[in-house]
Amino acid sequence: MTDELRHDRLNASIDAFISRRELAATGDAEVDVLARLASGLRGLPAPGFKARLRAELVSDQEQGGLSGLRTRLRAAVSFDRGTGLAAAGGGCGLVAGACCVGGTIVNVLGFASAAAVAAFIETAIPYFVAVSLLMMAALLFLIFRHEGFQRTTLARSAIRVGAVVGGAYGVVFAATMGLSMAMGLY
Amino acid sequence: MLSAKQLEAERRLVESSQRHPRHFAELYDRYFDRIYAFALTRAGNRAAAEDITADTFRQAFENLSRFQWRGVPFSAWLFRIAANAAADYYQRASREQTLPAVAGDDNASWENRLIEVETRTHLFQLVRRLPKHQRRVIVMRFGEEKTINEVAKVIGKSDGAVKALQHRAMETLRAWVGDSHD
Repeated sequence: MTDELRHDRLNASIDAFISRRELAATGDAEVDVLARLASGLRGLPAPGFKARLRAELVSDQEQGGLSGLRTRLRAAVSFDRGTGLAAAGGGCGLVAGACCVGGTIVNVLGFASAAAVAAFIETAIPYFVAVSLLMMAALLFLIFRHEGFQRTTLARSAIRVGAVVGGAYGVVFAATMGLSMAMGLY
Repeated sequence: MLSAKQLEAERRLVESSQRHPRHFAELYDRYFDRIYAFALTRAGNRAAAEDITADTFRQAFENLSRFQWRGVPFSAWLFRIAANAAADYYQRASREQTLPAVAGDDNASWENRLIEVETRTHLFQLVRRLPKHQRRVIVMRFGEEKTINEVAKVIGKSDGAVKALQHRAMETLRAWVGDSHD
């Protein structure tokens, strides 16, 4: 068989599966192998498609389209997981110490005496701590529900999450108490 | 399957893209062929595959900041988005009654589909390595679905010469792919 005939047969076979999606035997085993391989190329990405989509995605971000703006905002406020957990724990710590911080500010601004603030903090702090602990329990529940309660990983995950959230809680709460102690209010 | 080192590099790239969305282009380049091949395998025609691929990357780009690294390849997240995009595409198409013919065998197992996706991805990547003239012919024949005569007019050669280039390109690809298609 001449090369030209082989080229024609392969081409006819390619035409058939491009237009009719049929892969018919040509009677030449060598050509059939190539035709089978060529059938895997059907639908090869059009030359400009990849570049167009890439330009659309990246230029949206660069040129400030609506989708780009949304992406930038999300990127700006997004946390990685560790930072997010620490921020959440710190937030709970701040709630626990809110009476210390609030009392200190009120005292510094001259709205209440040190004795009155100290009395308020002493009375209120158990309630603030209780609310913050409830918030933290709810937070941990939501985290584990989101990640799935898998027995094999729960203990390890609980220790890791608990350490980050609890650590941040402790640091922030201690800082707020330290502030009121430094001012002689607690 | 990615090695631990590759996974770590991918984690760094994803996190970098979350901080600087411009870096998403690198993830896009890395996974374009695979997602397109997946979409093509699911959809069976170019227009649907392009729609699904575009939807997948748009959603991935817009939701990248919500992605949480859990030690599995980024592609797993992308494939989930692509599967949902394909389902949405068919839902929309069936509502509008413009449902295109679905590719391949509906009963094909996930294993077979995965093999098909990987085979197509590999082939698409190999096409880029072909010598310039062979690549042009293959891209015009399969990417633009031009006839031999149309290709011949564009590149200024005879029909016979284009057929010969096409044949040589397929032989080159076959040599690279090995005997797995025999």
